Amino acid sequence: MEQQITQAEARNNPQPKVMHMAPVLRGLVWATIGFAIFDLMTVAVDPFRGRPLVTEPSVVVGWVGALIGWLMGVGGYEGVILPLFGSPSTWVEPKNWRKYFGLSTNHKVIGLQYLVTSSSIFFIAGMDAMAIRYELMQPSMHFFTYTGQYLTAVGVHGSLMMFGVGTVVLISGLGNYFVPLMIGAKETVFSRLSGIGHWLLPAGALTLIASPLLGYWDTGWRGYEPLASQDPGGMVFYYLGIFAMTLSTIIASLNLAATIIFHRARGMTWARLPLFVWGILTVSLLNLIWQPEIEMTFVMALLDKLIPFHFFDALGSPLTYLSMFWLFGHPEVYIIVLPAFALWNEIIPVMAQKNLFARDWAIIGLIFVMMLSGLVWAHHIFTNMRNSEMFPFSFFSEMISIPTGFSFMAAIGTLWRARLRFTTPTLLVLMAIFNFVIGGLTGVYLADPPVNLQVHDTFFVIAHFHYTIIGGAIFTWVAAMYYWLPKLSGRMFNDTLGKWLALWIFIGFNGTFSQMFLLGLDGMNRWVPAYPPYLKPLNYSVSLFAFFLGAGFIANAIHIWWAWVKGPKSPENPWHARTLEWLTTSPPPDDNFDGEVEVVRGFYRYDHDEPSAYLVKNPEPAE
Amino acid sequence: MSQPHEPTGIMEQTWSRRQLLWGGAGLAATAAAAIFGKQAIVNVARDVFGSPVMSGKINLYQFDYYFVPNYMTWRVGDKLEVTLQNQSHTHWHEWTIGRHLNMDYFQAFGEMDADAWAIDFWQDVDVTLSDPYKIDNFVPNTAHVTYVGPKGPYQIQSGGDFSPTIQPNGSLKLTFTVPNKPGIWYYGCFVQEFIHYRDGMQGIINILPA
Amino acid sequence: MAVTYAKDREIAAYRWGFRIFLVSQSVPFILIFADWYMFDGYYVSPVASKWLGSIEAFFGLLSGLIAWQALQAIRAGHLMAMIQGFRRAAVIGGAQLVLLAYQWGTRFIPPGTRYGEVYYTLSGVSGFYELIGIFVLVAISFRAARVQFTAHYHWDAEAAEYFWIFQMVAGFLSYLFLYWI
Repeated sequence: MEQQITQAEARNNPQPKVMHMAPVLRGLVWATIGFAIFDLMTVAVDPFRGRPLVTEPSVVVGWVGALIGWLMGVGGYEGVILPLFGSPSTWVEPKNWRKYFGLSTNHKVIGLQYLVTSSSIFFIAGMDAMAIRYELMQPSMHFFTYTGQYLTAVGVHGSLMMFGVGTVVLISGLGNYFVPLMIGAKETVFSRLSGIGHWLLPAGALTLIASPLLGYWDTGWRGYEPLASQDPGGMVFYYLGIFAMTLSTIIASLNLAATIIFHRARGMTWARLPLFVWGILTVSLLNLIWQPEIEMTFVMALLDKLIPFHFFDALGSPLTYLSMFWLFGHPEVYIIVLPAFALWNEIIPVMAQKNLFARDWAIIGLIFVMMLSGLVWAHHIFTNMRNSEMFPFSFFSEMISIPTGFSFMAAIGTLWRARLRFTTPTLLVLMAIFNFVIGGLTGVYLADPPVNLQVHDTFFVIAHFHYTIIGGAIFTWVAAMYYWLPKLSGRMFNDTLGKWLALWIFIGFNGTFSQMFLLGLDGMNRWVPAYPPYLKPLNYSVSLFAFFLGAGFIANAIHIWWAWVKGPKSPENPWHARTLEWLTTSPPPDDNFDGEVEVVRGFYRYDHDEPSAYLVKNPEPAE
Repeated sequence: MSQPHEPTGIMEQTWSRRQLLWGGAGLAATAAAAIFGKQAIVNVARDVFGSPVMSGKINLYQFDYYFVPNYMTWRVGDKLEVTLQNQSHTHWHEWTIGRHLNMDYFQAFGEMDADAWAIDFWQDVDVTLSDPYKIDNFVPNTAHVTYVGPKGPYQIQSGGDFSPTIQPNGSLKLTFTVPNKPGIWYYGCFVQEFIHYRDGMQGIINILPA
Repeated sequence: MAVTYAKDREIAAYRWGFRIFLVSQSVPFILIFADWYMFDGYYVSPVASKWLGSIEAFFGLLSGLIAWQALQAIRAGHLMAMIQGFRRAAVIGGAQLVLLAYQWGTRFIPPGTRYGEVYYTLSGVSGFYELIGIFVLVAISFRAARVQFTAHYHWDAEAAEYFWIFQMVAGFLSYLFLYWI
């Protein structure tokens, strides 16, 4: 049934307006104005002695003004605020390349915006990592002047990578682009909100990048108390930047979860839902619970710093902050890696042209990882706990390897006796599985209190989580970019070159981080720009591999970019995949499918030649 | 039945690629300059616009971790009355003036700035301290200090530069005539193992000849 | 009159999505309640004025009731009653905020105490949600006049009402935590 909505005619606006300024540039100008207004208002109401124009409270309020100005400027004013008050919508998206530089409601445009923004953040945070590794080539400080600068570099690197890349690329980026396509939807539920959501991401990233302006902060991405409440003003931008980025993730998750539940095509039952969609659904639920949690924790920490309150400092309970942080922090790493697990089992059956082994268990694994992820947080703070308290967290942390193993089981079972097509995406997925085995197994060691207490805060831990996040999630991201490149652009990459480039980052990655395990066991601490000279040879070679790895990522990016723009035309369904995104043209039209989609059977069976779904084309318009 | 929805307002965007690229690059360059070249920009601005000479009563505020003002111009022979006020709610702060940071070799960190200045500005300067409120330790070093009122609040100690340390919300008045030591002098707070200084609690005094 | 159509299923998606959003937004409140328990074990300061707090809570409930009646009005097709109801609810919500601002302004509850910290944080967060809610109510009351909600189509009003009830419940729970438990 349909309901009628009547909309008032526009009255005083007979002449259509032309926009002469790019929405992003307008956003930046409006953000500057917003900051100035809110900042000066705060300084007027709450003046500091000596009347400095920017104070910690004023910068917080000014930031809110800047955020409002930015979101309005990129199109929120015409796209959201005016319609909210009932004006006829006055934001018409351009049909050409200009649509990428302003508010959009098309999930494919939003997905690409997310991917590009996130890649830029990956580049900046990666350069940050290069600076860190350059500093660590020598036992004493030679690149940074002050330790605070080094620690700020570490903190900006970690925060940007976690909140701007890890949480974003597979969920808000590829998820926004492909989930609606994979379930046969023509649009998402909260498309306008989703469009606004993207523009929170660059705002948050820019805030973090600008944090040294207010003073070097040295807590890293965890913002540990009570150090944070002692830190210079840069800490404020850490809270605010992450606030914006997590808000963006909440919006993307809300939109995707609602879309998955309500906009599935006919015949797309829960039993037929593709694995990647299951992955996105589970992490969306995690995001909806834990991202607001960390936002509120950060608000409280911010109040600790500004007022100052004493929730988390020495007068309060620093350990409460640690728990609050890791209550979010450990689900966060599963948020990053669950879509990667799902993608392995999305890509492998296609490349093997073989039935997905134990599909139900792969999904059950995803769901159990999601549920257990909230029960393991305290293994990050074993050093602050009694023995008796460690046991349950140690137990659940090791338990979580079992549902994780289901994803491996499905992947390996599918590979068993398969005639695998050895393409670049295949290679990268196999590499990701290999890396994650190392990251996961060292994680089991780290969940054991005796090992944990020994290697706590050493490079062993750094190596472990880089193996899971870069090795697992980022490698899978690169694999998915190659896998879906023909769909995104209609063009094909060079498979030989792709394999060499994959090998490049594989060697760079393993060279860098496998040595970091040894460094950690040898006693190399985290969070120090200087170290005892006997660690220099290992650190030196780690740095060389790290530069090699960084260059490898850039080379892959250039290759993908080249293939996107200039690559040879690809066939409609180059991998002979069965999921719905391959049913439409490449790149997909504005409303995804030129007709109605009907799913008739599951997507992961290759033992027959019947199609999984039909596209009933729209009749030609009778003009 | 249903008429097509006819929106009005912004229907079309005509901005050019050149505007986007140059505008974006310009803003990026501005941001980079703001982050990495803050000090250079401020110095140029001072060279162009100058900085007025401060005399008589001066308020110097200490925050976490910066001074307001963080740049002062004095003239030799002027009589100054500096009211030093610690505005932090949580941190102790001191005020030292000098030149050339003491450098020290730190086992792991290499050669770094250490406790204070090699040359103390207050050497042989006559200074009167008055109205002490919430004063912590005080090192007179080689200054000629006159105390107005009881000496009790000062907790006088030796070692290091002339450095009044003030508790949160405390204050102190220093009255002195600018000595004949023209040129650029630096001031800073080295509390908490010089981290305050490194985090930005620094300032510059430009003393003009009489 | 320009006319567009919304499918029932779309409305259901909006409704479900908005509810899940509100569930997600309850997490910050749960976090503060839990933190408070960890810091304080539910201590109610004797200097907290139960009278002022109760009047605020009463205003909150009253405006929630009025907004609910406004939604009933549009369900019966009375557009003007709905618009007026939303505006009245917004005004009473505003009065509640003014009372809160007064309570803050007097600093009767010292911010330096453990109770004071929780009080200012919790009342500040629920006040923030209320401010957003007032903005939404006012915006929707303007939108209602221009878009002309009907007894059949008034999802926007329903959403505003959801949000208003959500912040009312969160505010009332905060009141119970701050003054009684």
